[in-house]
Order: sequence, then C-alpha cells, then structure tokens
Amino acid sequence: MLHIAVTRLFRDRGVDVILPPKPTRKTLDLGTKYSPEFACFPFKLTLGNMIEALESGADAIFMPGGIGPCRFGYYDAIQNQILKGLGYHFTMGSAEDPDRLSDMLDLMKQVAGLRTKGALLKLFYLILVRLSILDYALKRYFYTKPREAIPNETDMVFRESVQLIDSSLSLPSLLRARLKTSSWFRKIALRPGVTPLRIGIIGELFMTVEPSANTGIDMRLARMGIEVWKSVWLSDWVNDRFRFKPFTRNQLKLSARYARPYLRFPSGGESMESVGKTVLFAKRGVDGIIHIFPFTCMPELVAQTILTKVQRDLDIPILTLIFDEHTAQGGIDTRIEAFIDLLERRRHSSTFASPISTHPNRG
Amino acid sequence: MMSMRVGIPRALLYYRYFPLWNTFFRELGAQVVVSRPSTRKVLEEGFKFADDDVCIPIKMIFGHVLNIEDKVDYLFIPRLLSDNKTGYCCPMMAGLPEMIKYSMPHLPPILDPFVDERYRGTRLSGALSKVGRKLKYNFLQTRRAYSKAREQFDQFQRRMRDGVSVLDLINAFETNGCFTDEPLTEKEEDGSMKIGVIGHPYNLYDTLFNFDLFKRLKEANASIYTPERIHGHTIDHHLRRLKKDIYWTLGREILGAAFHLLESRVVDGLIYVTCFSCGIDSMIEPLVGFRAKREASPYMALMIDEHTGIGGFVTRLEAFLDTARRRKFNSDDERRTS
Repeated sequence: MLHIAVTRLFRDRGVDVILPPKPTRKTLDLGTKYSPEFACFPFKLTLGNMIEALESGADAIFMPGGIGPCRFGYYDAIQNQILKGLGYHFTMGSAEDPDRLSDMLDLMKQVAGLRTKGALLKLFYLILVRLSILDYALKRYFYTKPREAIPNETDMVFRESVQLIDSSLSLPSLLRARLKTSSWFRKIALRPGVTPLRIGIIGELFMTVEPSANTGIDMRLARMGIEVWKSVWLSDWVNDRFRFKPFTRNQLKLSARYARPYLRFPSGGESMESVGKTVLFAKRGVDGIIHIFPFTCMPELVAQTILTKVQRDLDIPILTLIFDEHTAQGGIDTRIEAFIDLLERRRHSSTFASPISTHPNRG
Repeated sequence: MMSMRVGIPRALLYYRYFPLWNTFFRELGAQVVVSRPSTRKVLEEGFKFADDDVCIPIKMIFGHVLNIEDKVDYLFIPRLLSDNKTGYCCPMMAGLPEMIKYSMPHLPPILDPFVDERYRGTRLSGALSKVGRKLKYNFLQTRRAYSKAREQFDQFQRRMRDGVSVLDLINAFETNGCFTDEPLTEKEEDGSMKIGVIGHPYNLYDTLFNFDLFKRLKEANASIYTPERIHGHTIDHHLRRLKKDIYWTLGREILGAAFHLLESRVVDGLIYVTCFSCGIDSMIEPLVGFRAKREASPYMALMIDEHTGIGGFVTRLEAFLDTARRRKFNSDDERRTS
C-alpha cells in the first residue's frame, strides 16, 4: 500500500522512483543469504528487496530508522553496511526517529528535493491522505467481500478504486476519489442475512501490512468468505504519531485503554496494539484471532505470553502464526483451514447467537 | 511481627543491580530472599510456564521465580524500559512482570516499579520510593535506604571496573551483606593470554549458561576482560564513528567494549556469549564479527540455548584458545625477528 501512496506523488515531482519487483521467493533467498543469521524476517525481506532495487538501477534507498526497544530501528545501519560490503554504490536516507515530524520531513527532503517546509508538509499530508483512503478502500473490501452476491464484483471494484486513488494527486481529487470509492462499494449487491465468520488479524506492523511477507493472508481469508478485522493499519500508524487527521481516533490510545488490565506499559513494537485490539475485538464479537509476527520478534513474544491469559479470560481462540524464511504457504493454509473449522463448529455449538456488534473499522 | 520477605530471582538484571536492590530492601528492614543458583532443574521448571519462543534467560527467570514463590511475601521484578538517559532495554524486560504474572498461577504480589531513566518522574530512585511507599514505609525511610543502596551500587561498579570478577563480587556481597574495602582477589598477575569475554551479563554470569567459562579461562592461564571493566568514556569514544548510535544500553556497552578490545589490541581473542533468539545480539553480533574480521583477531560467538551441551562448548573453547595462543606466539615471534 505504501508504495502505491508514495510512488506517483514523487514521480510527479520529478523523482525517478524505481519500484523493486514484487518480493518473491528469490528476493527472500537473496536477503537471507546476506543477512545475519538471526536477524528477523522483515530484515531479510527488505534486504533482498533492496538488492533487487539496486540491481535494477536505483542509486538511493530510503528506509525509516528509529529509536526504540525493537530492533527495527537499527535495520538501516546494518543493511547499509551489508550492501556497501557487497560493493553497491548508493546513498541511504533514513529518518533518525520516525516518531518525530522533523526527521520524517528531513527524509522527504532528501528524496523529493523540495526546499520549503510548507511544500514538504503538504507532500507529507498528501501521502497520509492517500494512505488512509487506500486503507479505507481495503476496509470496505474486507467488509463487502464475504457478503457479496455476485462473485468477484468486490475485487473488481477494489481494483478500480485503487487505480482511481493512485491517479489522484491533489487533495480535492483525492476527496472525490474517496466519495466515489464509497459509492461504488455501496452499490455492490450483498447477500441478505449473511453473518460471516469474523477473524481479527493482529500482530507486528510489517507482517500484517505487507502481503508478500504474510503470504497475503488477509486477502485469502476474505476470499474464503471471512470478514477480516485488522489491528494495525499503516495510515493509523502514521496518524497516531503526527495527528494530521485530528478527528480520526488515536488507535494507539484506544488500544492502550483496552490493554490496560493486561499490559500497562508499552514494551515496544506493536505489543500494545496486539493486546488491546484483541480485547477490543473480543468484546465486539470477533470469532477468532490470528496473531502474526516474525520469528524471535521480541515485543510480540511479550504480547503472545500475555495473550494466553486474555484468551482464557475472554474465551476467544487465538491462532499464532510465526513467519520466517522457511515458512511455506501450504503449512499456513492447513493451519488456517483447521482454525476456521474450529471457529465454525464453535459458532454452531454455542447456544446463543453471536452478539450483534458494530464494525470498528467503519465510520 | 516477622519482617517482610522480598524475593529476588537470580536471573537477568540480578547480575547488574543486585547490590542496589538488596541494600535497598535490607535498609528498609525487609528480608531479601534470593533464589538458588541456576541449575538444569531450575531451567526445566521454567520451560513449563514460559512461552516456547522466548530466549533462554527469560525461561530461566521463570524457573527462579518458581523456586522462591512460596518462600516470600513479595516478588521483586522491576520493569526496565530504559536504564540510561538515551538507551532502552530489551522489550522483554519492559513486559517481564506481566509475562510472569499471567503465565504462572499462585504468585505472591509482584513489586514492579516502572523505570524509565529518560524522564524525571520514572527514574530509578523515584520508582524505588514508590515501591517503599507500597510497602508502607515513609518517604524519608525510602530515601535513606535508596542513598545507602546507591552507595553500595557505585562501589560495585567501581570494583567491577577495577577488574574484580562480577561473580566474586556478588558472592562476597551475598555473604557479607555489603562491600568491604579489602581487595577480594589478590592482584592477579598477567596471564599468558588476554581474552575478552563479552555478552549480556545474564548470559555471561549465569552458572548454568557459562559452563564455568571463567574458571576454564583462568585454568588456561588467561586474564579476562569483560565489558564491565571498560570505562564509559572509552565506550563512547569507540562508538563515536558509528553511523548510528546503538540505543540498547547493554548492547551499546557490549559493542563499545568489543570495539575497544579489538582496536586497541588489548586482547588476543574475543568470545561473544549470546543466546538463541536474542534480538539485540542478532544485530550487535554481526557488527562485532565484521570488526573482528577486519582486525584479524580470533573471534568466537558462542550461542547458548536449552540444548547446548557442555561437550560441544568445551571443544569449541579449547579450539579457540589454541588458535588464539598460536596467533599470539606467532605475532610475538614476528615482532622479535623484525
């Protein structure tokens, strides 16, 4: 999603953006080959991706850095060293602290070559708006897909709206695109009286957002007729930090409120969101939770340990999927199918109907 | 009335902060109960409750908690987000009290002061006085106890920097209850070799994980350099050229110490004791490895997990020591001939 939000905007400003080919098995193998053995999965995937981008002619790479207990913040420094060691010539731009607006703007200045702060802010705002509209389209997709009456109508609408959003580069046209997306999705005929299974996907940001990292699990679940709720969205993640959209709810604070009985202090990464959103989803009537994170991810392991207690307290099944470079889609599919069977049986055997609830992602 | 018993598990930051915590609680009039030294059995007890994928020191602390849970009124498991103005600890440390609380049944209440040295309200002193207040001591008592504790802690750090081994220091502290002025070990003469041993203190000094590493090195007539021996300024100096500062306090110490030991040619070989699935080590270890390669210094990363056996450990250590010794004598010869 991020690449869709960013690419056109930068191209419009005369920056030649090279999109690395979609990450494949080969990308991952490349990354694994040159990564430290025990680095986590996103490190290896992004490194492989960088190598492919450099091979296809890029001369600058941008990677958000960070300061935090999670090791993601130190990715850029080590990847830089590894790539230099492989003999590539490039400049690496990274934000010192992605939680600080000035650093993010600095990063964009390096990319876009804009001078004034106003222009930078505007560009940043546009990226955020594009991201949030893309996320909006995806949320509508997740809601509509399991309920659609005509097969694949939703996919078509979704593809078209992404194209529309991609081609709108100014604020008014983006707003128009959002209205259009909304009306398109509203026009899709729904099957009446369908209450699909609801599964919440929680976990680490990169793994839940990047389809090539999680084998496109959210889309596949949707295609299997399951309503997917996600705990972290890229646009929320950005907006929680900079509050460019003041009337959108701060998701981090919301999670912290629900996580409070279990986890009072953030322990880095998305552990707070994982615990908080599990509680929130369970209270809003989700049938099951899928927890996704890379192997040896420290913050999510904290969350996982705490979730065992949440699971018992709120009586909600949680499937933990840990990804690394050896993960194969077959194994994941088998486990998901078994999990769905379990949820279906639970739903039918329970004496009371599933509680009526409002969708947290809408409105 | 019987005095209150506070339990401190002998794991993780025990190896860094024990003199401080112990003095603090003793000055308050509480009785401090420390779990028994790590054994295989303690670790196996820990497996039962800990998550499968967490690192082995965390599994170890679960075992230690189990060891003392029925002997104490309170468990002391601090929540360290950051123990330095600029640095963080491992994310696991920040979530540790909850991990323990929700994985084990029938625990005594946990004292979990939140320590974040970056902000005024959550410094160690303040966090500990909150603990004191929770135990119904007044402000003055906790302040006094904290300043005594700090004194002992400063002395602990000074002694470590002088090169006294951490384990000796902690053992002496546990028997005496405080540090005395007399030297603990006789001034050691320089061994035939100097070996740097780096890693997180809870991996280095745990009696189960290190397989008597220090004793074995002493027997091989090597003098040992650990990160605690290296002054903060030296570490800062060596990390200044780094493109991006390390934001983990312990990781920073390890990397700075490694750079210092390698670059200033202090040591003849470097051993990094790391544990499987440690996120911090997974980022620091390659950096140390790169540098050791560049300095052409013998270097070995020893990774421990629950399956590590003493046989493989000793074999690797012996091979490493042989390499280091041969390298040293060769270079000495060269120097003599040139």
